[in-house]
Amino acid sequence: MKVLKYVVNRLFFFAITLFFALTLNFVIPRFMPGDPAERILMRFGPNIDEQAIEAMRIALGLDKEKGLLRQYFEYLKNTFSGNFGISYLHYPVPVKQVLASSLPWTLGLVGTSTVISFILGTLLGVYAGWHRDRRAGSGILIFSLCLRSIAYFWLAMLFLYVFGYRLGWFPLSNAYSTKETLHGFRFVLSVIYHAVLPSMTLIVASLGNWILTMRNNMISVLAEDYITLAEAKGLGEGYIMLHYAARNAILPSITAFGISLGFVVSGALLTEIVYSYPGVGYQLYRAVLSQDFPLIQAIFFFVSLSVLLANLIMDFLYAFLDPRVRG
Amino acid sequence: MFEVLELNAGYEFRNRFVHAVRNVSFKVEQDDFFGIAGESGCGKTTLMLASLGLLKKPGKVISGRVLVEGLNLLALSNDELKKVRWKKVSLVTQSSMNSLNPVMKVKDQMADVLIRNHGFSKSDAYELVKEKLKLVGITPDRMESYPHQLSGGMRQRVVIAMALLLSPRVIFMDEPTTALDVVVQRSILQQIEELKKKEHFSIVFITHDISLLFELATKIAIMYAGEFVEVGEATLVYSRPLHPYTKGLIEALPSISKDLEKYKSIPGRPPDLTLKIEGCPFRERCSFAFERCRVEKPELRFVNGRWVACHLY
Ligand SMILES: Nc1ncnc2c1ncn2[C@@H]1O[C@H](COP(=O)(O)OP(=O)(O)OP(=O)(O)O)[C@@H](O)[C@H]1O
Ligand SMILES: [Mg+2]
Repeated sequence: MKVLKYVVNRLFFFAITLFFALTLNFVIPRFMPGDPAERILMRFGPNIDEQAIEAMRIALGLDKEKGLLRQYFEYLKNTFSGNFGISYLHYPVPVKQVLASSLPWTLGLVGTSTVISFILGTLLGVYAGWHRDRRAGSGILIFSLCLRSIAYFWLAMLFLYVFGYRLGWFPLSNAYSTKETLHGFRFVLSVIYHAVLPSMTLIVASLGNWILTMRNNMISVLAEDYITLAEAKGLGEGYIMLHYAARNAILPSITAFGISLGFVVSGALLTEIVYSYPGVGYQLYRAVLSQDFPLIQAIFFFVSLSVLLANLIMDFLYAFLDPRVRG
Repeated sequence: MFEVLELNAGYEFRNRFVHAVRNVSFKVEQDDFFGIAGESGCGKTTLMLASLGLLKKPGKVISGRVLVEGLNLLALSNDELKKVRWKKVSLVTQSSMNSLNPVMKVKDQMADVLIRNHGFSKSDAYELVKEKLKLVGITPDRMESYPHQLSGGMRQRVVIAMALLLSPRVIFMDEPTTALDVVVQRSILQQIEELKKKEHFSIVFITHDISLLFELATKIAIMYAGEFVEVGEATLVYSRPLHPYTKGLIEALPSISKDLEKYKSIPGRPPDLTLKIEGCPFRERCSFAFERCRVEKPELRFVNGRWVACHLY
């Protein structure tokens, strides 16, 4: 019964926050300076007449005739039917299409990297915390401190230069081979091949933090009486490490992992720029520069949605892992 | 049955050594209720952990032996230790939320040692868990609970039941009731006494509350700055304490008959345990101290039926 109450409670909270996020997403771009219609037309030359601008406004759904409330309801309706309007920047390509060509790449690259980094970092952190007095533990600690101090942008460039340019092991740009048209399995291989360097960069950039967080959690859990009792019982080292120490130490990391997962959708701007990877980060960057409201709005919508969804999932995972939350 | 011989232990701390257990020896016999009392920080917990081979880095045992039925616990291999632990000697830690693993059901964290180390089947293990919980007055339906669903007193009873699982000969208890309110404390102490009579184990009971020991213990040891300064029959030590520190502790006890003004606490603080202590460790707080106390360290000697380390005798 308590579990059900918890689930309903979380779902309710999710719905409310999503509603607020949606509303903010509607309001904020409308208070930004500049006229998007003018901006688009400006690309076609310096002399634009008033009528053309007005026509463009109507096409963009920004005409003054419609009240704000009507605009708002239209916005809600469009958002839920996946109709995000037309991108100013890529005019006349619909936002939907722009996202369809970048979102999957970002989800694949950044999502996979985040998950790998979390799992690897957490495992190393468990080990480093458990063996903190031994050489292996100190080794991992030093390794993670080094990782943390590396500038991530610089690392991306270095990888690109060494493994891509100098050694030629990996491609320099793009998400898949553009030289030939590949299908099925060979296409997947090509995608993985192109993702190696950027995902290595992303993993290296976040791994150190996961290791350190987990190591710290482990060390504070190891001071608890139940660990001493487990040792006094003569239980095996591996069993205590996993079932008594790590099982408790991972709880604080779960929330942080949820947040990272939520922000996957916003892409990884620097990596995408360095590796010319067709992801959302780069699209968002360009959209902001050219005030492409529909695109910005759509990306923000997906970011809010995924942050909230990731949180919801982590709340459920947390409740599954920690009986105290269930009540 | 359980014997500690010349144990020295402590912690490596910023290039210094906190010598928290100094040459301590004691012997626990069948049916003993052996109490160890001393101020906070005098090394009681370190003594217990070192005696059980549980002292972790930066803690370190420098020398000494711990004999359990003839075996030296500190020299056993991991595999041999597995067989001795919990079966010959178990322990109860300070009562609080963290003596139980918060993410494991009560029955599972009790049964795991039976299943993994002592060849129990799952159903046999749960059966034994149920039986031992009954012994401390916890109903079987609580087996499915998680620790946070139990009250502080119940949690501590679970820990006691856990210590009883393999019917060990000796159970160490490190301040098992300090975190509980007085009423619960009473009922748990009473239960410990009853269980001891029924199950015939010996107890090593560690506390800073010496008054508890005078009620419960058969033998007591007074610990000061890492050393035992007086060891003997509880009734004897209480009625005729010899060491000035023991006297001070007894005089500092609150009692209903005494006026508040007559309370005497012992002035001063114990010495720094990182230093090598010349002479008697208590001399600076002792009103009987004389020249010899400064230069010569008093050894434990048998005086008037108990052991005491003091130059006065
Ligand atoms: N991990 C550690 N590193 C360094 N010194 C420590 C460590 N743990 C304990 N000590 C020191 O060792 C001494 C003995 O500590 P111990 O915990 O054994 O005392 P105690 O008698 O159990 O005290 P309490 O009644 O407060 O539990 C203290 O001076 C303490 O400061
Ligand atoms: Mg202690």
